Amino acid sequence: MDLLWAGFGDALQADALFFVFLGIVLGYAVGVLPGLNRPAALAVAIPLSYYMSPLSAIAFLIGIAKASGAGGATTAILLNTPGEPNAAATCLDGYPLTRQGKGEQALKVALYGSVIGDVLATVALIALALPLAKVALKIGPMEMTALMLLSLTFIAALSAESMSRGLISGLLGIFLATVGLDPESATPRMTFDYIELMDGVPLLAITVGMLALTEMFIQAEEYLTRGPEAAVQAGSSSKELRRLSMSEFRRVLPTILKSSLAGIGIGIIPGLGPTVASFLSYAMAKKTAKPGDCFGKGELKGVAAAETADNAVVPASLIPLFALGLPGSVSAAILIAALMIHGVTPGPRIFEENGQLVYGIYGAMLVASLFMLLVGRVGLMAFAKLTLVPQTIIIPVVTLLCVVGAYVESRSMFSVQIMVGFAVLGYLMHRFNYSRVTFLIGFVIGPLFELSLRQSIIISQGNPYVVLQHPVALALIAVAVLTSLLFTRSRPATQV
Amino acid sequence: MMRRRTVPLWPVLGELAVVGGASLLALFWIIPTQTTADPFAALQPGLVPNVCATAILVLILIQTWNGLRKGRAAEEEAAGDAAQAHSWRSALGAMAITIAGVLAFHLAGLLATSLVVIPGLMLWLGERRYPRVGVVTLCCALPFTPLFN
Repeated sequence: MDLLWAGFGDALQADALFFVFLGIVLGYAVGVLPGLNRPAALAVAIPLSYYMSPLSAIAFLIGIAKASGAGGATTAILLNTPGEPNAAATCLDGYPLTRQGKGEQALKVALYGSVIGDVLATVALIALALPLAKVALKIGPMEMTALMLLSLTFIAALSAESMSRGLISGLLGIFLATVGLDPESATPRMTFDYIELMDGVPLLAITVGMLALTEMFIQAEEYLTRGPEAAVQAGSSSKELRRLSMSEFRRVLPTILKSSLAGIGIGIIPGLGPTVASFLSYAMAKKTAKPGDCFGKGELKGVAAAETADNAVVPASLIPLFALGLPGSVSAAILIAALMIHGVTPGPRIFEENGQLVYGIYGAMLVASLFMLLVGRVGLMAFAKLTLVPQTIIIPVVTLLCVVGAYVESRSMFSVQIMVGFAVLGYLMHRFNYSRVTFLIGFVIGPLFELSLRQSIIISQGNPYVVLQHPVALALIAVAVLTSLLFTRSRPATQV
Repeated sequence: MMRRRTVPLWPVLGELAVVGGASLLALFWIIPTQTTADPFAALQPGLVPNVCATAILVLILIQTWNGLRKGRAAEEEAAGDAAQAHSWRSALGAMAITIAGVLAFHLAGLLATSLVVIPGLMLWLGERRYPRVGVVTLCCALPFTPLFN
C-alpha cells in the first residue's frame, strides 16, 4: 500500500504532470492530423522520451496513446476519414451526424465515451494486473514458453491476411531478436563483426523504421496514387444542434458502459486490438438497438460504442504486459520497448522490482484521463482545424523526425541506416501482406521466449517428454496448434 | 472494363524465392558461420535461429502450395497493373529521397538531411508553392541544426 501511495505521489510531481499533459496535447494533434496513426506517433515519440525519467517517459507515451485514439475520432466524424482502422466504425454514424449539423455533438459523445472507457479500463488494469502477476509467478518456464507460443499464434492469426504469413512475420522477429551476444555462452551471434550489433539490433531503430517511416512511405504512395482527401469541414450549425443535453447523455450512457466492458475484455486478449473492439462494440450496440435508434444514419450511440471500446483497449492491453510481459497490442509492444530502453523489464517480477514505478504509471494513467477530458473539452473544435494541414507537409516532417529519432539513441549513423533498412523491409512486408505488428511483437518477446526455453531445457535436462508432465503447457500448445488450423481455414480482418 | 483472368504464378514463386531463399541462406550460411557451438550451453546459440529459419522455410512452402493449388482466379481492372506500377514508383521515390537524406547526413550532418528530405519529399508529393517549401524547410532545419552539428 505504501508503494501505491508513493507511486501515485510520483505521478503528481510537476515533471510527470507536465509530460502527461504534453503527451495528451501531442496525442490529440497526432490523432487529428491526417496520415498519422497511434503506432507511428508512439514510435516517433520514443526518441523524444529518451532523456526523461522512466515515469515521465511512460506517462508521456501513454498520454499520446490515449489522446491519439480520442483525437482520431475528429477526422472520422468531421471528414469521414478514419486516421486508422479502429476509427472506421466511428465514421458509420459520426459523419452522418456531421451532415445533419451535429458534428460537435458527436465529438462530445466521442470524447466522453473515450474518457469513461479509458478510466474504467485503467481501474480494471489496477485491479487485475497484480493478482494475475502473482499467478504468473507460480507459472513454470515450460508453461511460460507455451503461453508465449500461444500469444504469438493468436497475434499472427489476427493481424495478418494469411496465417502462415503472420507466423513468418513473428518468427522473423524472434530470429532477429537473437542477433547479438548469446546470453549463456557470451559468444556473438550473427553480428557480422559489427560491434554495434553486440547488444542486438537496436529496438528503437526497428520500431521507428517499421512503424513510423514505413507508414510515411505508405502515406506517400497513397497520396500520389489517390490524391489528397477532400477536406469537408463541418458546416456551421445552430447552438441547439451543437449542444449535448443531459437527457441525451443519459441515453448513451448504458452503451458507453457496455462498450467499456467489451473494450476491456478484448484488450486483455493478445492480438485482438482496438479495431476488433470498436467494430464488435458497434455491432453489439446495433444488435441491442431500441425503437427510434437510427444506426448508420447518424446515431450518437453508434459513435459512443465505437469510441468507448477503442479507448478502453489501450489500458486493458497493459494487463498482460504488466502481469506476464506479453504485449497484447502494438501500442503495448512500443511501451515495452520504452520500458526496456529505460532499464525496466516488464513481466510478473515488475511489481517486486519496480513496484513504485508501476503504481506511478497507474497514477499517470488516471491523470491522463482527466487531462484528456480537459484538453478535449477546451480544444474540441480548435484541434479540428488541424485536419487542414496538408500531407505534403506532414510526410516530410515526420520522415525527418524519424531520422533524428534513430540518431538520438546512439548518436551513430548505424542506427539511422538500420532504421531506414527496416523501413524498406516494413514497406515490402506491407505490400506482400506480412504483418509488421506480429514481427515487432515477435522481436520484443524473442529474448523472453529464449530465456524460458533455456530454463525449460535445463529443468527437463533436455528430455522433451517431460512436457507430458505439464498438462497446462500441453493444453496451451494444443490451443496454439488448434488456433493455427482454425485460422488457416477462415480469415479475419487485416490490421497494420 | 473488368476482365476475368488468373493471377500469374510469378508473385507466388517470387515470394517463395525471396523468403525461401533467405531461409536457406540463414540455415546454410549465416547461422553456421555466425554462431559458435558451446558444448557446455544448455541451449546452443544457434538453436533458436535454426528453428525459426526452418519454420519460416516450412511455412513459405505451405504458403506457396496453397497459392499454386488455389490458382487464385481474380477479377481485376484492366488498368490494374499500370496503377500498381505507379504506386510502387510513388513509394520508391519517397524511399530514394529518404536514403539520399541519410547519405547527406553521413557526409554533412543533419542540416544537409533537412535540406534534402524536406524539399525533396514536398516536391515529390506535388507541392509547387515554393515559398511554402522554403518556409517549412527552414522551420525544420533550424531547430535541429544546433543540436546535432
